[in-house]
Amino acid sequence: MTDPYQVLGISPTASDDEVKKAYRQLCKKYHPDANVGKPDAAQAEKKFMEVQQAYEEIMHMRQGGGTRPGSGYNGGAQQRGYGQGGYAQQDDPFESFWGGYGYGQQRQEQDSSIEMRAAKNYIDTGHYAEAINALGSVPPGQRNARWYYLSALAQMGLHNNAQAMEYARQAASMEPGNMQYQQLLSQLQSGGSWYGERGEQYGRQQFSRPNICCSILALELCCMCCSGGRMMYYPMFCCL
Amino acid sequence: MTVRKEELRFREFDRYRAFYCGLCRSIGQRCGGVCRMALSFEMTFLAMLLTALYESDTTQELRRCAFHPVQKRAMLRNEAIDYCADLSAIVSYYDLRDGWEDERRVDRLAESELLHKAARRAGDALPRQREAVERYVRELHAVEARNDQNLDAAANLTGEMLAELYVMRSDVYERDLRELGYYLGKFIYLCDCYEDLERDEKKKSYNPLLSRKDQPAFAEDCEQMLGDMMARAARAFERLPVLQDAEIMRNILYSGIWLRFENATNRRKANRTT
Repeated sequence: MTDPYQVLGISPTASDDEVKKAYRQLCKKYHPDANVGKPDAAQAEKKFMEVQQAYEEIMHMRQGGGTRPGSGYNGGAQQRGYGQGGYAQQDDPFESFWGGYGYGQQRQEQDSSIEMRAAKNYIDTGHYAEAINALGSVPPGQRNARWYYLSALAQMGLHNNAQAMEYARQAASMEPGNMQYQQLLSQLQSGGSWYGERGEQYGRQQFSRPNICCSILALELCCMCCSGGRMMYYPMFCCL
Repeated sequence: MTVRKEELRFREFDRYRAFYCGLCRSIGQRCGGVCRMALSFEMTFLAMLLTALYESDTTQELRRCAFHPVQKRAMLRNEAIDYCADLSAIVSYYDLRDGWEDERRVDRLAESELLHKAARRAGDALPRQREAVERYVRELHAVEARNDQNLDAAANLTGEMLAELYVMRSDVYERDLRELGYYLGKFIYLCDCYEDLERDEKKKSYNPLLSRKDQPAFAEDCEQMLGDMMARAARAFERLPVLQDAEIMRNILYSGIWLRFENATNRRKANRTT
């Protein structure tokens, strides 16, 4: 594995703009169009690909703490299948984080109905539309916090991030003591807080600042995300 | 989707305006004068983004125009601006026709007839983009007809359309451009919904936020939801190797894009206190 920074000829401490500048310069140099008819055209093309790969790797490393390129939203390959982005690659991106916090015990207790168990299975295997169907057959009167939590996960899998946030909020407010629900909500809100801080540099005044990572436990869990890194593809600035 | 002017340097604002005027001129030349109604800040942003990404050869001229007859304005011109001019023709043609078919507004029909030729030419040149706009109009009708209360149902459609329009050519930047367009589109749709609440309520138009507007923390929740959209869009933007005019685009993405949301929120607050 070659060091992507070496490929671009820059130091790992280079700023984002320096990375972009170096990338652009090398792209121009090795671009196939610039090397037509030259004796080392094949060499240049290989180098061109390397430069592009290195750039992509650096950008994803800097944003997601080791996130592989290709995860997240990806509408390119499939026409409509936005649901098959990052989440389908893992069995249950959420469970791997919260497993140690009483998840298993709660699941047995809460997923008593067939629909809820089916929905959980669908989410685990990346079948989010089916999960939403199963959840939809739970009568409105029986929709508990757990129902909203699972709905949020399924909506997230389909890139329905607005609806996911609403459900996560509902789950968290129905059972304020449940860390798992609070944590999901914090996760979904964490991107906004990074973005909001950046906005202040450009003169934006937020009406409401999300108050995330307020508890010590939440902070601890956020730090786990940094090392796990794969979940929301958000850098956890709260940990810095 | 515009700049927060007071935070821009003078030369940055001039540059932004040169894109705007350049796009206007390109639309006028390629699509005929009537098309200029279609000029939007969204397209100006896209023109600036694609210009920076591809570092397109750009020419600049100083001209007077019908809208600014006194002082000459700088106008930029390049392939990205022409691409956005064509997109403007397509989008506004379908938008006008939709207005006619939906509400039987004769003015919309007349305008769309004027645009017909230009939109056909642009659509023939950009079939993938035309198909995306057609699909959007079609599927949005279906969502509205079933009064879908999922917050993302209609927003995803706008996102998918814009994702398609953001791709000028197929290359390594396609994925990030799509992601940027997707979340920007979702933001734009839902921000429109937020802004148009009162009007949609009166006209009984489809608006997924209407059923939620009396929730206690409605404005805060909307801000957070929209913030999530923009955070995702901004992250895609930051992955692209864009250097030229990047600060102007960041002004829009991190701040200027919120102006309409802020105005609507402040307006409602003022109404409540009086």
